[in-house]
Amino acid sequence: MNARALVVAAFAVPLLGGGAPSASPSAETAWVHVRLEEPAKQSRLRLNLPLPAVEAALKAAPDSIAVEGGTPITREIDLDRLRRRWKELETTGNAEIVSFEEGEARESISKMWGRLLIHLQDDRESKTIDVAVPEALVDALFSGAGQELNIRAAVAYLRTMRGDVLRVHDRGLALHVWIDGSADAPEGK
Amino acid sequence: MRRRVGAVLASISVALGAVVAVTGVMVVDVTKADGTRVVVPVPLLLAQAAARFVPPTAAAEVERQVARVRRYLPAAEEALAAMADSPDCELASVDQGDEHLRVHKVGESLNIRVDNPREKAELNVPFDLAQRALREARDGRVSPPDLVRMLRHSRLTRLVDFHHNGGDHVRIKIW
Repeated sequence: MNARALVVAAFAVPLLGGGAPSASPSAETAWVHVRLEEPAKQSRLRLNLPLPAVEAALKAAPDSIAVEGGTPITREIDLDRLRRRWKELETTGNAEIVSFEEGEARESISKMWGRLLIHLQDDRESKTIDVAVPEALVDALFSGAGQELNIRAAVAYLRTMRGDVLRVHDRGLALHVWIDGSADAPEGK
Repeated sequence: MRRRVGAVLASISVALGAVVAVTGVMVVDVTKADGTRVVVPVPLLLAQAAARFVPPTAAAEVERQVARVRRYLPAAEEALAAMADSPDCELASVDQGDEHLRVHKVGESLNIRVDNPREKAELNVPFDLAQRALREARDGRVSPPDLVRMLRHSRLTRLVDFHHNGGDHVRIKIW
């Protein structure tokens, strides 16, 4: 199977668990759905997992992840600065947090319609990546200090959330992670 | 006298049959490409005894692999327990061109199917078997005879169904 696709999924999955006690599954069990598609490579991955299983499997994950030397999304802003900008925008609506252009590369982070949107574009490499993360999940991730993302808090939030967790669109790749109360996710969701 | 000998022989046969029935039988069913079919019932007790003769290097390799992942085993046990408690569903599906992998939760088992132009394979792993294996591995007790012994808890399971296109078809059931 496609290693790159699996790597992207692996980066997404740590958002879904780690360190928290699992609840016993019941009729109310939340289900984590992952869809990763690369049409050009005829590659498709679908995962439907009970949230307690994901939490349990990721207990080995750290409670927090340090992001040193600037955020991977843009080298121009470190995590602490991004967190402060995000908090400043708490009461405002849509706004651009940071944008960066260099040659044919454009990167921006904005708050839009209750989501943190990350846009990376590099015309030289014909590459465009769009990432959307719900505002409350970003709040949880940013509840740590310094250069750390609070994974434990994000997982705690996921237990109560329903809906989109993450959407990533690259030119040849689409990743969608969401949580709902059903084991069966509609085809093509 | 003849009647007594007959009774003793009959009771030995019944006792052996009872032991085999209680401890389980692995039935290996092979259909060759030319249609020849070979069915070999192997009492698990015998398989367990034979597993003691697995070369030490192979047993050491099993132990080495288990040691590498031992710290993750409690989490894996918990994840399996959560899946075992969930309703039947498709857990994973991976497609890459003409290669397909499906993992379903079906009743008390994990059903894993691999399908590509060269072969079709189906594996049914009872959750109970997997959880026992993980538990024993965590406690450092996994050896080839232990693994065979655990199959006793997988009675009436079609463990493996492997079909090489244009070649052999192998089925392994536990009775």
